Amino acid sequence: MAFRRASFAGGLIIMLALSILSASAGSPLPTSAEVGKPAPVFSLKDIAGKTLQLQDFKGKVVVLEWTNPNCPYVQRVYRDGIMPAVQKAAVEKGVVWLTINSTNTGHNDYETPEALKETYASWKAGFSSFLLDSDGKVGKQFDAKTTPHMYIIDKEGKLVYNGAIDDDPRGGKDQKENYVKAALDALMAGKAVAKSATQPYGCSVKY
Amino acid sequence: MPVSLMPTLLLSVMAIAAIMTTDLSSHRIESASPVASVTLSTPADDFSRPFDAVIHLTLSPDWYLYWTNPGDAGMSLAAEWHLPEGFQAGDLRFPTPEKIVHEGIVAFGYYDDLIILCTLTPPAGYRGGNRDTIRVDLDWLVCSQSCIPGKASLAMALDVVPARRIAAKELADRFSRQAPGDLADAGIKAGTAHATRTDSGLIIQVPLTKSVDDFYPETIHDSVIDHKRITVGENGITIPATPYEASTIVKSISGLAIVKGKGYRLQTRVEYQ
Repeated sequence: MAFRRASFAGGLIIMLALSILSASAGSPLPTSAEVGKPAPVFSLKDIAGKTLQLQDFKGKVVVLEWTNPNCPYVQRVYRDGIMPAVQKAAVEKGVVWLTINSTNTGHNDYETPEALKETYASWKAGFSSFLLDSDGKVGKQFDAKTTPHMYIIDKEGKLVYNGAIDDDPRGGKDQKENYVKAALDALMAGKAVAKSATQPYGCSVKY
Repeated sequence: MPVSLMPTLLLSVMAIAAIMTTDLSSHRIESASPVASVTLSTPADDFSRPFDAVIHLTLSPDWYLYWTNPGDAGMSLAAEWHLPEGFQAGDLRFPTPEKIVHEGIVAFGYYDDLIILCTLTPPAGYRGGNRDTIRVDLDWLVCSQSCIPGKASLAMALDVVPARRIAAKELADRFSRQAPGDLADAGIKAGTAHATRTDSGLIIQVPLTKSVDDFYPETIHDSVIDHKRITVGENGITIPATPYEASTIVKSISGLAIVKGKGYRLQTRVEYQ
């Protein structure tokens, strides 16, 4: 009984010490993506080999777009002009658009940076940067499930959208609701994002 | 006109006697495709009352098709029926799927082959004997390492060809062994589910009279289900979900409770705490 009480007290002291230590170090950085909470910070190289960090874009709205050029859903949204249109409109308004590829190097769908550059140029993509995440670390931080899978981070670094590009997974709708465009329009107007989480569609991310 | 029907229609035009029954009910796909064959048939011999249409897809090894809820990614098979005047088609009925998890991404699907049934109901007083044709356009996504979308247009005449009927009956029998039962068949009852709001969405808790091995949910309208965080235990089933909007209300939960490898249909309404 005495032993248990002593070890309990000892445990309490350790916990107190640890919490003092971590409080002085600042609150822990988020390691997973939840709408309404600060987005995980990350650092990745772009296709030119330059390192970019999410923190570089504080004060700007940032869109993250998970992609894989060998996924038929990605092919469709690019070839039909859906993704390039939203990218261009967003970037014109000062949004930072980061397209990310988390395909692992051993996968059938893996493409070299040179091939990626060529493909997305042929599709007239309008992203700010194309980032390579072939070990899947950032994809897993954000729990990116599909290609495409979209995230929007506001100027304060808070995640405000997680989900699909639009409401048309099969590509057959005449009138499509573009969730990303609607969310960006809301942010620009200083309004809250109404649909902050939607079911993303596409092929699974090829970790 | 769908390209797939052209060769078979050409053949039927050339055939003089109806004895040479050209099989419009199957679609031979190029051997390179992961979907080796797709057929449409029926075990019915009486079309004056509701009967089942049987869709059968066979797959190359390591390729899979998706359930009605594909999971975190993928796309379920969809059908668009083109029916004679007055006919109605019910919902597609899928067998109990497998849960396929890769790198934390959950899918519900089928390897090797997939049998889907659909009840077709003729109009009142339908006598048949007109050799009416049932047509269906299928749309799917088949995946292995990569994913390939696919389509097929199939047709079947409403006539009885004994050999085809026997083959269709074998498929329908196999389907009935793979089809989910009702929760009551497993001796289990589900109570009203309770939804609790959290920072990140909802936790939906389904109380059960007995524990189950797993739960495969059907999609919830306007809500994202966190499939890999679904848990089963003493208290029943716990499902984390995020509604699209703050105002979205989840009214009910449906899905398959899995007990010893078999699926049982569960449906219960949801009450908010």
